[in-house]
Amino acid sequence: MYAIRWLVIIPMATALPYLLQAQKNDTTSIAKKPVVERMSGTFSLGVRNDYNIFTDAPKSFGAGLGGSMRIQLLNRLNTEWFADYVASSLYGKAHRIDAHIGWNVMFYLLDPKGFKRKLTPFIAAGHCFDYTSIRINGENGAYKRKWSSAVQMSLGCHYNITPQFDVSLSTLYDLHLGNDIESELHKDGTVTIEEYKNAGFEGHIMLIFSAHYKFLKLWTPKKPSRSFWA
Amino acid sequence: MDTQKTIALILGLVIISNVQAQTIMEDRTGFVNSQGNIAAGYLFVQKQPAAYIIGESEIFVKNQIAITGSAWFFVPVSRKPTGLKANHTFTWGFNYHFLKKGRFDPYVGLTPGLSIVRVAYNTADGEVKKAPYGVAPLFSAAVGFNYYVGSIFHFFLKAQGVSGEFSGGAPNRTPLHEIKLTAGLGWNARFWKPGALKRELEQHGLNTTDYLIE
Repeated sequence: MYAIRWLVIIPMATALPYLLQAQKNDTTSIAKKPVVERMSGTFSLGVRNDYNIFTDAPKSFGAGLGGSMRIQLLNRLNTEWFADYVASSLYGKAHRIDAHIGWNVMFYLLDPKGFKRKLTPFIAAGHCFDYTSIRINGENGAYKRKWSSAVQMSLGCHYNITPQFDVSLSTLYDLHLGNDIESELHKDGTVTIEEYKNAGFEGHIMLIFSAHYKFLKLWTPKKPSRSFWA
Repeated sequence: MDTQKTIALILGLVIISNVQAQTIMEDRTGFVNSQGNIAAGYLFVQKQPAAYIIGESEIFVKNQIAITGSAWFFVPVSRKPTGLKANHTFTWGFNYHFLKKGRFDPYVGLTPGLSIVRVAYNTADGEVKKAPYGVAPLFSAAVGFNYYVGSIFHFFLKAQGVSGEFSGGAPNRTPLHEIKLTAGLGWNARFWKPGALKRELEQHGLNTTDYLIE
């Protein structure tokens, strides 16, 4: 038993310095690859068109407009601050307005290489506050509204026409948490607005088509940094 | 006095030659294009024409990239008592110009916008009623070209497609899918010299890549 214990301890004790050495080598290899975060501080401003693929009603396709600005933190990490206004028709008898204001953190799946790479795919996540209203079409139509907050995730891609100018397409899933209002179509063809008092989840998918121009750098990138993304 | 006149003449010549050296045909950066015009539209779903008075402007931040904005004032031409009574549109966005220089300047633009809409409709009693004004977001894209005929003039042709829908005071939604065409004479003026900021940074011994995106 005593001998078996030593059979385990001796190889472990021998291997330990190598393991430590291996860690040291890895650290050195990262340190040898300093990355200048040249895109850090880049400020861009853009416009966007949003398409609401669905809401609580079927075939409730909606179109919207908005604007966004991006402030880049690292070569592969960007932030986007947006506001938009989307109008959707519900059964042709009511309409819904969604307004969002929020932000996303974008991570570039491939090194954008200063946006000289033509296609730059990204994933993004963030949160927003939103306002929703539903109104029955016509004079003095019934009306209800709500405020809620949401989290969103998106997958998209920039097409860099020039390093300074890009158009982007992204798909975003918005998950709202808050009091819910929904339109309901009855058998007689009338539409009413239902309000649910308790908080609940509600989601919608949006397609976002945008164009951004990089105007300036808000700060000067300093010394080369050891980047995990090198 | 003669010396002063000579100096003024030389300075004047230098300024003129400098401006001549940077015509819009050679470098568009810093130029602003503006045009006021009339435009014709066609609403696809209503199958009816429309007319607008339009004002638009384009600021060239780079040779091939311009920030643009336009306002379209709706002039009713339909004699129908119901339907669209107002459809004033505002768009803004970016234009991408394909060619770096030259007289012929084709471009495409992504210009989202909104319309301020009013519709008239028949009530159940057969009475015609006007709904209150409302706002409709629009998807909008443009394609066109400029042809520069001098330092300050250009001819242009532009087609703008818009797509949207208005739901509001009227019982039914109103589609706003439309193509708008405009053409005519536009104006150009230079507002800044290209590369001025870069030269300023270089004069102060600063690294331009730290401040400019190139």
